[in-house]
Amino acid sequence: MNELRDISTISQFIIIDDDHPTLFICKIIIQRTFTDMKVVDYDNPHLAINYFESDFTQHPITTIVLLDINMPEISGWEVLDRLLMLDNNIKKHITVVVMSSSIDPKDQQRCLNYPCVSSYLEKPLTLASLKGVTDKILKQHRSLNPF
Amino acid sequence: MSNKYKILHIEDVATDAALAARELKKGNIDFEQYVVDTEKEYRKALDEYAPDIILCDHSLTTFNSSEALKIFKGKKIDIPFILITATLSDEFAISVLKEGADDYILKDRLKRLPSAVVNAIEKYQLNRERKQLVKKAKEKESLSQKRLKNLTNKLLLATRTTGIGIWEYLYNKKKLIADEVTLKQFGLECEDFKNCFSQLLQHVHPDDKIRVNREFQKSFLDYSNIDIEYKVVWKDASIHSVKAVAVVQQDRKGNPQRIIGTHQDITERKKTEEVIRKSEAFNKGVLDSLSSHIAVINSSGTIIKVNKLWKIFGNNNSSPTAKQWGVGSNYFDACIVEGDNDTSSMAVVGIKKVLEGTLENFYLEYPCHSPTEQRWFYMRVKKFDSDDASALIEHQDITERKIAEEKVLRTSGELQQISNDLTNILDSSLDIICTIDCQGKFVKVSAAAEKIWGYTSCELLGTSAMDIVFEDDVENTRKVASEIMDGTPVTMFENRYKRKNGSIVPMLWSSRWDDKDKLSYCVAKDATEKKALEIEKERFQHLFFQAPSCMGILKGPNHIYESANPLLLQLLGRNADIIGKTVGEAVPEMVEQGFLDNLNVVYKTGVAFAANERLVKIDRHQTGNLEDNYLNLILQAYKSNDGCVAGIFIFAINVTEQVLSRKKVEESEKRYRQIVETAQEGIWMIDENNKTTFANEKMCEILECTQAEMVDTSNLSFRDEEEQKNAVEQIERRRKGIKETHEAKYRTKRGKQIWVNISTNPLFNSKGEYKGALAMFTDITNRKTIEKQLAHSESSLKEAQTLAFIGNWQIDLVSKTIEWSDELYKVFALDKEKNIPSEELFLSCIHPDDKEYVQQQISEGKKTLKGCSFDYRLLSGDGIVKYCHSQSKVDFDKNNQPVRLYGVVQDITLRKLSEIERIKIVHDLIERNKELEQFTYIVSHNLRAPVANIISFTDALGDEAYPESLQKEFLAHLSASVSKLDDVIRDLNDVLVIKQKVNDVKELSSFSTVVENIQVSIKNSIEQHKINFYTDFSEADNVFCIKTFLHSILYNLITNSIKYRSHHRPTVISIQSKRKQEGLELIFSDNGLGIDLKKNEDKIFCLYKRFHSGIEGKGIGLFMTKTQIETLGGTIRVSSEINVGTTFTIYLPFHAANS
Repeated sequence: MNELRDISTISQFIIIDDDHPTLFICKIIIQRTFTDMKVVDYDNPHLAINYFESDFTQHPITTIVLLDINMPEISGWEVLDRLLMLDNNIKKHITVVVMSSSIDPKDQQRCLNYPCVSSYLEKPLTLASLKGVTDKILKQHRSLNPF
Repeated sequence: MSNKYKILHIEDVATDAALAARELKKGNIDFEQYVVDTEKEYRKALDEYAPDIILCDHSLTTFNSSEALKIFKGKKIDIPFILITATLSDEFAISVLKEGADDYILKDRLKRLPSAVVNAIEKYQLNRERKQLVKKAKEKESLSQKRLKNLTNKLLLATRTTGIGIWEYLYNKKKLIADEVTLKQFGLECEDFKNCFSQLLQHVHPDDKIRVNREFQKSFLDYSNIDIEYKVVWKDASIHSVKAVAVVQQDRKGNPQRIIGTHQDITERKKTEEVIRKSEAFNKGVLDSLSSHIAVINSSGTIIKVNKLWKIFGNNNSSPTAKQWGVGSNYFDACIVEGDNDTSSMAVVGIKKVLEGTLENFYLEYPCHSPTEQRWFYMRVKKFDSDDASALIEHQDITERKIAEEKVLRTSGELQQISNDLTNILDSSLDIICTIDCQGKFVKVSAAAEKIWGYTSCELLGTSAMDIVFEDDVENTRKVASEIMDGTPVTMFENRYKRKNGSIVPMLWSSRWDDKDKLSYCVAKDATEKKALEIEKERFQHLFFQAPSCMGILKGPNHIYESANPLLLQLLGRNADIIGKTVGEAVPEMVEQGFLDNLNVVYKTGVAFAANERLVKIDRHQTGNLEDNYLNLILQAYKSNDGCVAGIFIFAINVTEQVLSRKKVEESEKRYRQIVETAQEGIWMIDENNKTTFANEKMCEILECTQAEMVDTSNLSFRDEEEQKNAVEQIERRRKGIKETHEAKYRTKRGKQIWVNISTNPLFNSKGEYKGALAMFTDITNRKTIEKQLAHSESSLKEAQTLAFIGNWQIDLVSKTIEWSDELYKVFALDKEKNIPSEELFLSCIHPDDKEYVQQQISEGKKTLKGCSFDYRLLSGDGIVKYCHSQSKVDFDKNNQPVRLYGVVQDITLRKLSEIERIKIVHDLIERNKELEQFTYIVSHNLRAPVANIISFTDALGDEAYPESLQKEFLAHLSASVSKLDDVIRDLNDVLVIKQKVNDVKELSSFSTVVENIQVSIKNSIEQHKINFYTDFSEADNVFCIKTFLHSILYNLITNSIKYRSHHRPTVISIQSKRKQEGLELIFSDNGLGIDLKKNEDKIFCLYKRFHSGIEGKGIGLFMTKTQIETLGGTIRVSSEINVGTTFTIYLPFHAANS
C-alpha cells in the first residue's frame, strides 16, 4: 500500500535553474498549488545531480523535476543524460518537466525523446501550466497502477 | 656382566629418582641412570639410549606406567621392566605383572631395589644366552643336513652323468637291488628286473658266465669284495664290456649286512685299449721296415729302443765294438769309441743340445769308412714331442749320393775353364752379348757394354736391363721382352738406351729365350749410324710425300714413273701401280695433249719446262670423261753421276679451283652490271673528289640527263644552294666510314625539284683510303607531297587540341604500340622527348588519391571493351593539381576482335575550379544562414528569459492571494528582470554595430600601444589581482585594421583571463605576435582555470555561452571577439587544459577581405 501511494502521489518538487528569480517564483507557484509540498531548488545543476546519484538512491520518493536547459557549465541535456543512467528502480520515481525560454522547436523535440521527460513548458511557469503538467503526470501514474 | 648397568628411569619427581640411585649405590651396583619424565623422551631413550633395564614410577603427571609398559612391549625390546610405586593393591600388582612387568618395588621398601635389578638383568641375560645357544645349534644342524643332502644329490647326479650304475645285495633278504643305470648296462629296463642275480647272469657273455657266477656267488656267501670285468650280451646281440666293483658293509657290531657297489660300461675304454695295442704293433712294423737305422735314447744317452735295421747294422758292422750298440748301451760312449774324434764330439754335442731342448733338430753328415769300403752316413736327431726325456736318432747310409757329388765337383772344374774361355771370346765382341734372367736382370754382360753404354759389365750385373732403356721405349721393350720369354725369338728389335753420361744410343737387338736355363740370350748392336741414314731418308720421303704440290720422278727416255707422291696420284686419279709404267701407259689421255712432247724436249735438252694455268684434261675416274684441270707445271731434268740426263722431276700445282672461281667471278660481275643497268633504283658512284664515276640509266632518268653528261660531274651540282651545306656534311660522314639512309632534296638538270630517298655506302680501297661512295636513289617526290599535306592537317589538329586542352591517344592492340598527341603530353606536363607513352607513365601522373579509381576504370574498360569516360585529378611534380576528363572508345575488326583503343583526355581544371568555387559559395551561404538562425534562437531565448520573469512577477503582483511581504520581493525581482532585458538589448546592439563597422576606416594599429592603453584602463584590477604581463611584438607590431576592434578583442581576452584566473598561482598573461604568410599570428595565453574543450569546443565562441557558474559573466565576450576577428577576415582558434590555462591563436591577414 505504501509503495502504491508513493507512486500515485507527488512527494517533492526539485527545481534546477541558474536564474534566481525563476527559482523564486516557481517555488511560490508550486507551494501555492500543493500546500506544504517539499520544494528543493538548485541554481547549480552539479549539486542536483549529486543529490540524485547519492541520497536519492537511498530513499527514492516520487519527485517532479523542473529543469532549465540553458545553464552555464552543464546544460539541462547533460542533467537528463545523467538521470538516464540511474538504475531503473530509482528512475521510475522521477518525472522531469523541462522548462525553458527557448523557442527552438528542435529543443522541444529533443526533450521529449527522453523517456523520463513528461512535458516541455515554455517559461514562465503559471498556476495553470503547473496544474496541467501535474495532472498529466498523476494520470500517467494511475494508468500504471492496476488498482 | 662387568659393564655398568644402563638404567632408564621414568620418574617425574627428582628426589625419588635420587633416592633410587642412592639405594642402588648402597647395593654396590655399578650403573648409570638416565631419568625421563615425558612420553616423548621415553620413546627417544628406548631407541637411542639402549638401556639394560627400565625402572618406572607408577604415577606420572603426563602418562602412566601401563602406557610405558605398552610402548616398551610394542618395541619388542628384550630387557626387564621394574615398576616402582608408592602404593599397590594385590589386584593391581597382578595386573601389572600380567601386562609384562618383571617386578615391582614399593617406594617405602627401596632396599630391595638393587637385588631386584641385578636379578632381573641376570635373568634376562641368561635367557638371552640360552636362546642364542639353541639358535646356533639349530642353525648348525640344518646346515649339515643341507650339506649332506646336497652331497648325496651331487653324487647321484655325478654317477648318472658318467654312466656309473649303483647296486647292492642284502645278505639277509638275499635281494639284489640295482638302479636303472646298472640295468641299462645289461640292456634291461627297470620294470623287467625282478631283484634276482640269476636274471642278470643270463645276459652275461657265455665266455664269462662261469667266471662271473663264481665270483658273485663267492661274494654273496663269503662276504668278500668284488672287482670284476666281463662282457654282457644285449637283446640286440651287441656285446658290451662292463666292470663291477663292490664292497661289503657291516653293521655296528661288525656283522656284514650288504654288499654295495658300482657297475660301469667300459666298452669304449676297451675299444681304445685295443686301438692303442694295434697302433703300437703297427709302429713297430713301420720302424722296422725303414731304410734308416733308428734308435731311441733317453736323456743320459742310454739306448732304449732300436729298429731292426739298427740291429742288423750293429751285427754286420765290422767294428769290433759295434756290438755295444744294442738296447741298454750308451750311445755317447759308443760314439766316442767308434768315430773319429771331430765327428764324434760334434755328434755328442749336437745330441745333447737336442736333449736339453736348445736345438730342435740336429743333422750331421759324417764319413764312416769301413776297412773294405768308403761310407758316409747322415745322422738326424730329433726330440720326441711329448716325452722330454728321450730323443730319436736316425742314421742313413748316403754313400752313393756322396760319391756322385764328388764326381760333379770334379766335372765343374773343367766346365769353369771352358766358361772362362767363352767369356773372353764374348768380351772381345764389338756387340754387347748378354744374358738376362726372367726378372729382366743382367746375368752376364760382355765388355762391349762399357764402350756402348758407358757401364762396365760389373756395374750392370744384377741390375734390371729395363732401368737403362730410354723412357719412351720402355713400354714397347717390355712387350717385346715378354714375347721373347713366351718363346718367340726376336731379331732386329730396335730401341734406345740411356748411356751412363745421359745421352741416348739406339740399339738393335736379337734375343732368344732358353726355357731350360730360364735366361734370355741377347746380342745388342749400336745402331747409331744406321739410324742417321734412316732419318735422312725418312726426311726426304716426308718432303716428297707431304709436299703441297704434285711431285713425281720419271726415269729414262721412256719416262717411266719411278715415284709419285699422293697429290700427284690424286691429281691423276691413279693409284701407286703406275710406278714402273711409262707416262703413256699410266695416263694415256695426256699423250695427245702434247705432254709427252714436252717431256721429250726436256729429256733431250735438259732445259726445264714451265707453264702456268696449263689446261690438262684427265680421265680421273677412268670412265672416259675428261675433267679440266689447270696446272702450274714445271718439268725439271735431273742428271746421273756421269752428267747425262737420267730422268725428269715433275712439279705441278693444281690451280683448277682458283681458275674456275676467278672465271665465276668474272661471270657474276658481268651479270651484276646488267642488273645495275636495269635496276628500278638509281645507282650512283662518285670518287673521292665527288666526281661521278658511274650512274645507271635509272639514275640518269631521275636526274633527267644522260650518262655521258653525268660522268665527271660533281654530285653537288644537283643540289640547291640551301642543300649544299647538308651535302658537304653527308660526304664528310662518308669519309668517316658512316653508311646511312636519308631523304634529300635534289634538283634535276631541267631544274625540277625532286625528293629522293638515298642509301649510301662509303668505298675504301685496300689501304683504307676513302675512294668515294655508292648510293641507291629512290624518287619519293610524290610521297613527300602527300606527307606534307598530312603534316599540315596534323598541325591543324594539334592547334585545335591546344586550344581545347584536349590530348588524344591510341593503343594499337595488334602491334602493341601506344601513341600520345603532343597536347596529351602538355596536359600531363611531360616532356615528349624524354618519355615513352605507357599505361604506367599515365598512372604516374595521376593524383595518389585518384589512382585506385582510375586503375579500376581502366581495367573495367579493358574487360568490357566498351568506351568509358571518367574524371580524375593529376598531380604534377611541382604540386599543381589539374582536373581531367577522359573518354575512350574501342575499334573492332571484321571478326569482332578489338584492334584499337583510342580516346581523348581533356584538361578541365578551369571548369572544375569554378565549379568547386561555386560549391564553396553555396556551402558558405548555408553555413551563414544556419548561423543566423542560431543567432535568432539564442537572441530570442535571452530576450525571452527576462520577459518570462517580468510576466511571472507581474502576474504575481496582481494576485492578491500573496501576502504583502512577498509582493515587495516580487517588485524587486521585476525590476531586476527589466534591467536584465535592457542589458540584453544593449548587447544585441553592440553585436549588430560590429557588422555595420565593417566599412570603417582601417588604420595602422600597434599591438603594443593597444595593450598599453588597455592596461591603463583596467589598472586597478591589474594591481588588485597582481596580474603579470609578458608581451613580445618584436616580430610584428603593426597591423592594418580597425583599431576599435583590435582594442575590443584584446580587452575581452585580457578581462576574461583576469576573470577566470586561478587562485592557486600568480596570473601570467602572455601575448606574442608572429609574422606569417600574408598575415600575422597573435598568440594569447594565460595560466588560468582553463575550459573543458572536450565538452565545449563548439560552444566556446557562441553567444551567451558561459562555462563557469559562480563567476559573473554574460557569455557575450568571446562571441563578440570572434565576430570582430572574422569581420577583419581573420580566424581564432583555442586550446585549453583545465587548471593549466588557455591559449587563443588569432590570425589576421594583411589585406582583410571585405566579405
